Amino acid sequence: MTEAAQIHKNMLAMNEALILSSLRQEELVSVTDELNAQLRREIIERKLAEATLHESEERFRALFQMGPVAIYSCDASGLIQDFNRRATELWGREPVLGDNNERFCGSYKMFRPDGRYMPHEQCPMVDVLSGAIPEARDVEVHIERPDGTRITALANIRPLKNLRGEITGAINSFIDITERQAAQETLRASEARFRMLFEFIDEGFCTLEKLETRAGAPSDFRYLSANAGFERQTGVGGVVGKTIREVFPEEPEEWFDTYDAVMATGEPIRFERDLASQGRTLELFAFRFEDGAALKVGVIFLDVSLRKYHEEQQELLLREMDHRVKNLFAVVGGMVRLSARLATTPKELAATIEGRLGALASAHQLIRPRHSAPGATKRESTLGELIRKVLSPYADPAGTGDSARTEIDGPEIAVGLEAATNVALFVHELATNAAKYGALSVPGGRVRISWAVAKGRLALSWEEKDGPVLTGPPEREGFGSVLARKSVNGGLRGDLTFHWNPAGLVVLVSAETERLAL
Amino acid sequence: MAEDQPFIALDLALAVEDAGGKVVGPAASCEEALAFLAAGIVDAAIVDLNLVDGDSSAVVEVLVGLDIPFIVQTAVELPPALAARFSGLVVQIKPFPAATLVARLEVLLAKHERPVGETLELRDGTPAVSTYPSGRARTAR
Repeated sequence: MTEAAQIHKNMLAMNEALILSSLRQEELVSVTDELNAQLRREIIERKLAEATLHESEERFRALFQMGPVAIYSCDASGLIQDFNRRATELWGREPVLGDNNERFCGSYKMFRPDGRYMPHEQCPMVDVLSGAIPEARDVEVHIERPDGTRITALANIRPLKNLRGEITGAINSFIDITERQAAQETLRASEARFRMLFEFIDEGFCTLEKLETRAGAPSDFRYLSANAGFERQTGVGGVVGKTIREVFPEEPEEWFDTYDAVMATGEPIRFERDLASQGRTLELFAFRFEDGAALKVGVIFLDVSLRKYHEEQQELLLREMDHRVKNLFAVVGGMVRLSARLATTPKELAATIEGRLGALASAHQLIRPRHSAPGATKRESTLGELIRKVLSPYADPAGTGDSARTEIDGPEIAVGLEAATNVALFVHELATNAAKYGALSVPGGRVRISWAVAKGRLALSWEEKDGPVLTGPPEREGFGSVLARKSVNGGLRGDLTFHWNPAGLVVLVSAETERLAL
Repeated sequence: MAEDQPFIALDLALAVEDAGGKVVGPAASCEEALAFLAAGIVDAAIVDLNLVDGDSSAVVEVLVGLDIPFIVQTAVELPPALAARFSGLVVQIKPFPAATLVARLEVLLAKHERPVGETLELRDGTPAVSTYPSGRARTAR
């Protein structure tokens, strides 16, 4: 090959080489450009990531610091690495980070729920860090602050692990439940008090809920609770869970109307009603109350049957009294009119009436009427006592010291008010007559009253002695004698006979002793 | 007259005699009262609700049956049982003046002579309608 051809070939080769090298250069440049671009993108992404991480770290920081939960973390050996503001609030102090003498917890002192002291080396953080327990969930710990105050805390501890699964530390988040516990305790105490009241009061107490019934169907209520008093006051037990209609099927609709009204208006109602099926009268107080979202009826009640019985007895007594008083007025009215027929002067009339009223009063003073009420106090007297009292104005009116003009002798017999009135009447009339015309009308004259009881009959005699001589029965029977006879005939269902003996009047009275007791 | 209290009985009896009547009794017990009624000598009656042997419903019944005009006297209202059985009983509540009672009885007696429903005149001129139910119908209707 000639030199020129050789140089040409060399030049071609050099050209090729140059072209190749410039191509590679271009390639290199574009590759470099690309690499640069990639690098730039990576840098931007990294910066973005860093910013995001920073932001998220900021957020986390904020949460950590400001959150309501106390949080702190330890490393595997228990050295405190981080804690938030809430933790220092609950601990009441700020631990020194990384202090070997202050491991596992930043609190001053800790106690178990039962009150025993718990050194830091025994707290739950230790168990989680050592792996003895996988985590601590809602563990109750009592923390004492440096100022001596204590709080109850609930701790939740989770371990932190590395990629190999080894424990590198732990995070404890704990909350103060002191107030919550106190509230629970108050509620418990209050419930216990309520329970005590519920069970020990005399009154019956029950709560009811209204059953859902179709419109127009009769309403019914279910017993939700009933205390021991319920059975005491109604005589019926085991009602809880049953409805009123089940337990008391015969009770009238009124009951349901009342409870419906309380439910509808919320106005409490106090009422008295007979629990007919049990033969008791109850006094009840029904009210509406809220139990959560539901409205219920509470009823507190008492069996007042005894009180009602007493009220009825009192009513009866008052009517009886009314009756007696009106009767008494009728008697006195009759007495006055009767006395007026014979009296010639007002003074005489007054004396007659006074005398008769006095006899009546004597009976009432000594004896109290029998009442229908059981246990009413009794005031009783005897025949002798009564006769003595009625005759007392005649016994020794002049005060002459003369031995008693009246002699009263007979066995003691209890006398009731009705009989006493009649006895007082006839004794008075006989005495009045004796004082006007008989033995008591002269000094030295005497009356002897004596009686005996045989075979259920009373035989009484009134004997006048040492008085004016009698010449026979009077022409007309005077009122006094008629009254005397009528009182024995009537209330005493007996007989009274006059014997006009010359030596002195003898009056014989015979009556059934059982009439005397009335 | 059925009355067991001596003062009231005597007072009423005298008031009846004042008005020109004659007293049968007074009977103190239902037993006595029924005996008087059985003797057929009674034209009118005054009956106390409470006698010595209990309440006088039996006497009231006989009086209604015999169509004898009468007045019931009592300190309280008529017991519901009696009021239910006999409507139109004439009642006098105690206390009252005896003369008043007797006057009322006179009016009753006067009405009794007349058939039920016929208007009649009282002594003082006021008209009154007989309301006393006759046990036996005296008029043909």
